[in-house]
Amino acid sequence: MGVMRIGHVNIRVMDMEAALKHYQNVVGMKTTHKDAKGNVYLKCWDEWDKYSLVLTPSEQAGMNHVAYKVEKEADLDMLKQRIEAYGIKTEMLEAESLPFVGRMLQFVLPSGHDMRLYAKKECVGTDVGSTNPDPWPDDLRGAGAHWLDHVLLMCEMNPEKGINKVADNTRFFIEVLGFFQTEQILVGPGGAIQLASFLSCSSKPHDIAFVGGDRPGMHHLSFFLDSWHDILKAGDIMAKNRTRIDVAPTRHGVTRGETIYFFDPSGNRNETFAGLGYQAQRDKPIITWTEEQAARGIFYHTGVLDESFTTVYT
Amino acid sequence: MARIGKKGIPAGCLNGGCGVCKVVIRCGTVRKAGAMSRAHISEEEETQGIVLACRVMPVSAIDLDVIGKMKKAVTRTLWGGNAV
Repeated sequence: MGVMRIGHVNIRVMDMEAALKHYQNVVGMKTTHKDAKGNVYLKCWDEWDKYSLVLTPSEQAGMNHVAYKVEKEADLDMLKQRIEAYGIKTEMLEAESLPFVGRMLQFVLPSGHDMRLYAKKECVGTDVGSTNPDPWPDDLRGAGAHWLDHVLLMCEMNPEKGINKVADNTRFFIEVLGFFQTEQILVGPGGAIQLASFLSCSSKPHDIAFVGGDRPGMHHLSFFLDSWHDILKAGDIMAKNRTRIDVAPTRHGVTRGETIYFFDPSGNRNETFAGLGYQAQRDKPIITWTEEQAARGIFYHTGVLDESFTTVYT
Repeated sequence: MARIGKKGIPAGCLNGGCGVCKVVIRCGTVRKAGAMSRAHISEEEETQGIVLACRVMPVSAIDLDVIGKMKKAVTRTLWGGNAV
């Protein structure tokens, strides 16, 4: 039942031409639709639904909304009841409020982020099809990302005022949306403060993550690659395109993921992420990173975390 | 300008989106080289010479003050860059 995976993310870009060049030539997505308002819709080659990224022209960067796909139409009605019973208002947006998508359940997360759930989006198939498929298509560009993998949302945290939206979101995702926690970073006296939380609704180490900061925002959207070698090649592609790399290829302790962080031309942070790490299961013990090893959890090799990691985001 | 770490301007996304390199130009002239997020620089601020350093090029000698900063988060050991 319930939520299957991330469906799409809608982000704001300040220069559409530069953004398209980035998401097509560097990340390797293809444009599948443009609407009258100037929004552009893109997908990765290994995705079968019409799009996973919506770029909206804007005077600022950041995320408009993130949407997850549920298995059945009836799940939307069930989740609407559960979300409202939890005390969060919802609105059922009619079909086609977003192109090629059925009705969408819209609500605001405890952290203030706009979230949507939907059950239907036009299926156009992967670039290798579903009948006797080749392992990869011939026209890959850039990093050739397989799919949009997850987002990391920055959530307000102010221990002195008792505000911890990381913990609030985690509770909501587990109790209401049916996610389970795979990893967490605990800080403060006795590890009482949940600074970061990683949640799954599949068998991946995370489908969404939350980290504490001084204001809500989007830390990054992440695209999946197969292997460490693909990460290296993605780094080459970024260098060739003069993409601003934030963190050069390395490994996360959390999720065991292999990673590069970089910025799109509007300053929205992207990640290329490889390796499924381990099989996430509901009965697997939650992994905890303690305060003194937290930086090792984020960047496993150096164990050093720059202040920019939690300050620089859109 | 944002890349000149020695001058004390924090470098973030370098693409006009994150706002950490916010400065005020006290004297001298700069040329705008790209979009700056309105979440960080209002139109009014822009007219007052408040800009994101990563999105302007100096066209004369300039004098500026840094407004943006890397903020300390929950704990110094964790977010101060010196944790092991």
